[in-house]
Amino acid sequence: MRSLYSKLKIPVMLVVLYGLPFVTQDPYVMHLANMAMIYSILALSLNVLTGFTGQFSVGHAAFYGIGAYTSGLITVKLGWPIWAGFIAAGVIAGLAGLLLGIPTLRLRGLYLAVATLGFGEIVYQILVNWVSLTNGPKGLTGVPSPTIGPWRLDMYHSYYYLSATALIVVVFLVYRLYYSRVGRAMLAIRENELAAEAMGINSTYYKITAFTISSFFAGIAGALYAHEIMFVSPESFVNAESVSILCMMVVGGVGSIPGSIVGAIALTIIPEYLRAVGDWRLVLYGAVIVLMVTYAPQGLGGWITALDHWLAGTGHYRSGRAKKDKVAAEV
Amino acid sequence: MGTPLLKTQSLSISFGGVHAVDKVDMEVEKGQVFAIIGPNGAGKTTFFNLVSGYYFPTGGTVTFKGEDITRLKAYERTRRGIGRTFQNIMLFRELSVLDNAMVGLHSRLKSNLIGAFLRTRATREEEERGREEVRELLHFVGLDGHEDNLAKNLPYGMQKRLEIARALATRPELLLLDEPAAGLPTQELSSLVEIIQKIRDRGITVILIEHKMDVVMSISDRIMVLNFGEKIAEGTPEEVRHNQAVIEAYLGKEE
Amino acid sequence: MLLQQLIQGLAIGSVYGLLALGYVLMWQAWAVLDFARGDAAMMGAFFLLIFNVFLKIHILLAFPLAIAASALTGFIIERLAYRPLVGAREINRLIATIGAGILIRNLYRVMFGADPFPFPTIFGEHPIYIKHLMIVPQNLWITGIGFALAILLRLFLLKTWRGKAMRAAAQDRETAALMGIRVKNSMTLTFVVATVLGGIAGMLIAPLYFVMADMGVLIGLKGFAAAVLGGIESVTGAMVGGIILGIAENLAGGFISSGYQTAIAFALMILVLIFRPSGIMGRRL
Repeated sequence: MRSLYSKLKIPVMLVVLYGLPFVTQDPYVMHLANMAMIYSILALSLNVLTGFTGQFSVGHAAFYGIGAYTSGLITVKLGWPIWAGFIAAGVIAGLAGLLLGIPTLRLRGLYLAVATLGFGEIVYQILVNWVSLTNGPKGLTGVPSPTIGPWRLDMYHSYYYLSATALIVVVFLVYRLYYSRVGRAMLAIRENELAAEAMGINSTYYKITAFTISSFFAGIAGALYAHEIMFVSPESFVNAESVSILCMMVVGGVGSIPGSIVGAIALTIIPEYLRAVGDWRLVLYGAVIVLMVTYAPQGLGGWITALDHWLAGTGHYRSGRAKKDKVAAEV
Repeated sequence: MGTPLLKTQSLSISFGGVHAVDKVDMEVEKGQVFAIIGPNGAGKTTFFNLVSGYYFPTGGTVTFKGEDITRLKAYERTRRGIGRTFQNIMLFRELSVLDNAMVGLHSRLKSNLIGAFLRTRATREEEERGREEVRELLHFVGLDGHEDNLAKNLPYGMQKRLEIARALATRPELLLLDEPAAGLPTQELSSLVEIIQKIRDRGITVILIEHKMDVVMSISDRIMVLNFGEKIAEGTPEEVRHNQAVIEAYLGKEE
Repeated sequence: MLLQQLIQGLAIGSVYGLLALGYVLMWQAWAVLDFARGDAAMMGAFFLLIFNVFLKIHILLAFPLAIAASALTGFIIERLAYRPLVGAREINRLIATIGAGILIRNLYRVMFGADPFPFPTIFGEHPIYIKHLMIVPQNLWITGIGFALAILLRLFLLKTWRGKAMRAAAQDRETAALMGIRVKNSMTLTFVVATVLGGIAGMLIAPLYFVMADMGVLIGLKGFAAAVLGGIESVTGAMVGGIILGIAENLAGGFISSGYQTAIAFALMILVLIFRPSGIMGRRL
């Protein structure tokens, strides 16, 4: 029974993930599902920074926005293929992260948080004011939808296959990073930067690397968003959006990979259900965040891992993998 | 004699006018166990921090294997062969014992981001070899069977030994041990002394800061005594034991 | 023209300075980047609106009432959202302040709606002319009150026992506790003081802008930028940072483009972070 669980866990998750469009093709539901995938990537991208190296960004929407506008502009104004747009979105956002990270990550403490906060505002202002490039507050229309062979992904439910696949690829890469020498160096920095240096780790280099990877993934999420709603405007990348991403990661549990996904899905869907209570929904949203960090600081990820271990019967650190997941959840 | 492994010349640092380490000249020969003793606040740990690159001196130089390393950062010194432990344990608390030691291998492994994402054959083989090497080190300090525990869950004495294993994983030629015996119960002291002797037998030079005099006297080849940041004596254990300045510095504090 | 820009910058800058003081206090005593600072200003503006406009209480009485209301809400918020997280991870404390900000802002939106309320000028907006120089009395009032409060705070921190205890508790909790200072009370007091300063900033700015639930977001960020500019550890620095920001913004608005006003404020902040991370007046972060 238990080994059955371990064997079926991933296939069942994949079936549920890819099976959603077979259950419903309702545009509202499928758009929400796409947003949940995009936010999952964003929360994961932030987790590479915070969960791995212990730094955090309060302006992640800037990289999300840079990605969205890069892909949007390249495909609309230059007429490049969408796949080029996706790659350029990641690369340009990653470069922006690199350029912001190099001067600020040399320093310890909250510097990166402070710098990203300012950077987020600046990017937003540029998107609004540089009308000749971005079309200003009116936004950029006519962003094309991708085609794969004979299929045109111009419906929310068909696009969903792309966004779900993108999430799977990102999850896969983040796991690989986690279990590598590079990831281990990042975790060591998070745990104790001085001791990490004594192990021969150049902490600045790895913090900048983590931040660049993080911005790269956020840029990819931006492109995914631009081609989903086929329109980009500055309003999607305001400071409040950065805050939402941060909250998703924290509610999911800092350092927990499944947590980021569950946190993103939960905070994408919950506000929709709260529409019933009208204007009170954001009040409740705020209250939930305060309560979560106060009374469940490990986030949802802690519960997921506990459940996973119970089902798999590896409550104690038996296999290397179970142990590492536990580490991730406890952080 | 050849060049000494480590040499400091007139090494000094002051914090807000206080000379924490004041013009210290010393040399350590390869293969020695070299102890630094002195009353609390004598500047012993500060001296370690200067040698390992956590502080930059306000004066003087540090030379390692004939190379001036005074301005090198901590991680660069580790890569050149200086390993260290910390007085108040600084493990990666939320990582497993095995991973803690694996971090020590960092600068000797090569796999980069591409290797991480693609998990190439070279990367996998390197990790496997690394794990073997680290298991051997954990066995060496007597931590076998604890590989998968989280570092924070180890009892105190084991944490101290994990710090040593982690430092050994960096393949140091010079190992700095900051109070390895502090807080250990008497019955664990003899196994610690044994570990330090075995480390020396592997050809690793050891400098240790220690308050427990029986430990210091039984394993050290040479001893340097610091007081108020200044070197007041240096010599064999026998010489230091009878040095008048040392006796005065320790007056009534002999442990 | 230039002089007028400077005077206006000075006025808005002293409001930023008051908010920046709140960040400095919170950073010192709570070691947290407090994202709900701007919402304290919003609440202050609303309290003044309620007492002065809705209840038609004379402004001289409405001011102290609004200040008292700010202090009380500060106390309540501290108990509910800040106190439980003392000793928690840095990022969790930061997120709690974000959550508290969202909660407060939207609670006000539920109570008062999203539409802006106009606020009557209390300080007189008819300009006085001194030769060719046009001076709006309200700007002078705002500057005067802002500076007076900053000086009062400085005196309080340096001269009174309570103030000294607050500083001691901020620097080293354990030692302060050993010296008989009730560290937790001291932290509560700091929070209340920061909230009142923020509230007053909101009251001062209310006649310049409309009063609305979202008004705290942007001025909160500006106050933060001012605190970083001046050096997050320094009371004097906070005011200096506020003034520099206010003037820079007004000059940028006047001579470059009003659209980029905010962007220039934050670009300035990032440049200071890169080239002088401890801020203009600070020693070290």
